[in-house]
Amino acid sequence: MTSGDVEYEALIFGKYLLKKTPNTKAIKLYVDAIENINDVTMHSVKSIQFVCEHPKLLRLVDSGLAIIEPESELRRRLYMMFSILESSSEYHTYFLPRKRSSFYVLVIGITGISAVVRAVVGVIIVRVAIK
Amino acid sequence: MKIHDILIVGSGCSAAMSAQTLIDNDASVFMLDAGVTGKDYRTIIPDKDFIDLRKTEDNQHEYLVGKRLEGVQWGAMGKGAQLTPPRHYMTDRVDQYEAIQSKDFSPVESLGYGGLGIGWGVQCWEYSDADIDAVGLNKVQMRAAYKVVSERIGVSATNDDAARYSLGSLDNFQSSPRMDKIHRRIHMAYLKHKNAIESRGFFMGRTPLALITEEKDGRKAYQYKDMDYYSDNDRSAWRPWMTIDALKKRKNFTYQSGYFVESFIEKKDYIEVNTISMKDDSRLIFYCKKLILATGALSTGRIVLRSQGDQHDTLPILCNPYTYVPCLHPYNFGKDAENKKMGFAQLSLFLDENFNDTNISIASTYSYQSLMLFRIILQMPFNFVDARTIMRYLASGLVIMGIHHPDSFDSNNTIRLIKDKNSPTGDKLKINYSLNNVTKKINDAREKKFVRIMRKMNVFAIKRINPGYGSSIHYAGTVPFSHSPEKLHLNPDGRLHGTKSIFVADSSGFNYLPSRGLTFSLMANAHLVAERVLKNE
Repeated sequence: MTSGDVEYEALIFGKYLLKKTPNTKAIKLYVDAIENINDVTMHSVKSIQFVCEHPKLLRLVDSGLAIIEPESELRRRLYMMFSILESSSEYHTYFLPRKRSSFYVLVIGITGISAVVRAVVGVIIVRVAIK
Repeated sequence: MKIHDILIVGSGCSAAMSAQTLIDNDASVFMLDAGVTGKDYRTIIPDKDFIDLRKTEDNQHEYLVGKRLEGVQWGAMGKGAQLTPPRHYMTDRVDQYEAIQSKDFSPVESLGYGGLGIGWGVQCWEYSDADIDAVGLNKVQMRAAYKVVSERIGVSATNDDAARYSLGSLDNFQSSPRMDKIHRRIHMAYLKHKNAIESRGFFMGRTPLALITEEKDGRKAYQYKDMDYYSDNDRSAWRPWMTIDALKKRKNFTYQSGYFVESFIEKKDYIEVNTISMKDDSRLIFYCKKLILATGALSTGRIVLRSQGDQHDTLPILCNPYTYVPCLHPYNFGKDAENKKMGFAQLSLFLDENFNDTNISIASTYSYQSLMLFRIILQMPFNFVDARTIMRYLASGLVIMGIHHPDSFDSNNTIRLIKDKNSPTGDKLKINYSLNNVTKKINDAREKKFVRIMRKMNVFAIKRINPGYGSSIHYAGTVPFSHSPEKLHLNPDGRLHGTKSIFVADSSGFNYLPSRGLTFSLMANAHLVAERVLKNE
């Protein structure tokens, strides 16, 4: 993989996690971190290539892998990006607890239910399109 | 050749306490240590509370996750997985010099300046009389020694319902730090249902901590910055290096780092201490009249085996079984992040099934805020975006309960040295450790009781997580106390049987490991051992 590929990957992952383009510092930190990984197999990057080609399916694939292969390379890289973004002052509002009304429980409930649905669809995508 | 009067090996909690006792009595002390130090984070971690820092600091990733993301653990929990980047040096170079072979046991050891005390949770429990007897120590002497240690390091505590389990006869302590909102709620619920809870053998109280709430010896009173796992900037929580830094200013104390102690040979008039230079793996011998080993139970076991054992000798090992339980307290869901908070244990719950303070288990509770979402997000079977949405709401209600159980000798749990040509010492430690089915069942049943009783205090367990054998970082019993002069055993005064002037000041001698964390007790014992070294002519 070239550094350009990894930068593109960082961009996709950042956009997925934040719903906006991550800053250049986060992208650079991610690229540097990926350079230190030396145990990647061809099989493990298959899912990464797939989501880079189909970024709109990333949430579903992530959901599916969270169930059937939580320690996959894709999840590992998303996790790395997650930790980089979390430790960035610019994105603190995305991660720190914030006061919310009790009705927010409904949002949590809906999020939970939709997460389950996404997981079911995601498992199918992973099984059919990636494996 | 220079022969030192007293040579202490190590710089952890027990080494620091022995050294201070000796120095205060005008003895001449030479401390020999691996002394690995890390990058100095004091200059890059700002003097701010955790929330303020998260909102404003551009370079926070350097100490929150590490420049190379070394604070981000992936896959199976490895050694020191729970350490934050500023504490990572605690385990640096350990794999090189203290190699391990074990199927199930994964210990955390340290060659750092300050030893395992670098990452200690600062809980200060006095052992009960029954515990002290079972460990093989002297009750009267230990009670007096606890007071000495408390005076030196500064302990905060509360004389509450659980004081008889936690404080023993300790009376020289400062007041406990204030609890955060969630712990105040838990404690209120406990007080409300106290009779019902206590009738089931549970007793709750504040956790005694080596954390000062009033200024002491130039150390600041605790500031509630919630940076406890990252920074020692205010020096409110005691660490061994603080004592050793102070001792370095005394004329009769010398500190030498960079040497890994391999073995010793006691001659007629002196002791040879064989070391490996950590710079180039060359051998160097130091000489002393009296030797104190304070390197921790596993390292001391290695040194004693190399010095006195033969190829087939094995030593026993004790380790507190440990389970942690992420829990939710619904009252705090959807609440703002708190600026003033504490990362150390705030409440402790004792399970004394027989109401006689023997063989008890302990759960301590922590708020989660400063450990960041990425450390828990993997526990959720959801995609990262949905998991973040949910956890941001639940995180302020997250409580971590850490449960420790006692451990007794089991003939199957042993350590021994085997050859390893890749190690600078030429050996590695083979550890066999597992719990028998009876103990597993007892511990499992107790953990379920903890989970059930916490529900009464509106704390609901998500799941029990067993991080594996060795994860408690509480090790002992490798060179047990024995009144009869057996090989590879300690006299109860701390002297190694078969020697005149070689002492052990860490937990190696303990014949039993109570669930109460051992650090305060091993420091008290180290003080007593140092006193005996002074008397030993």
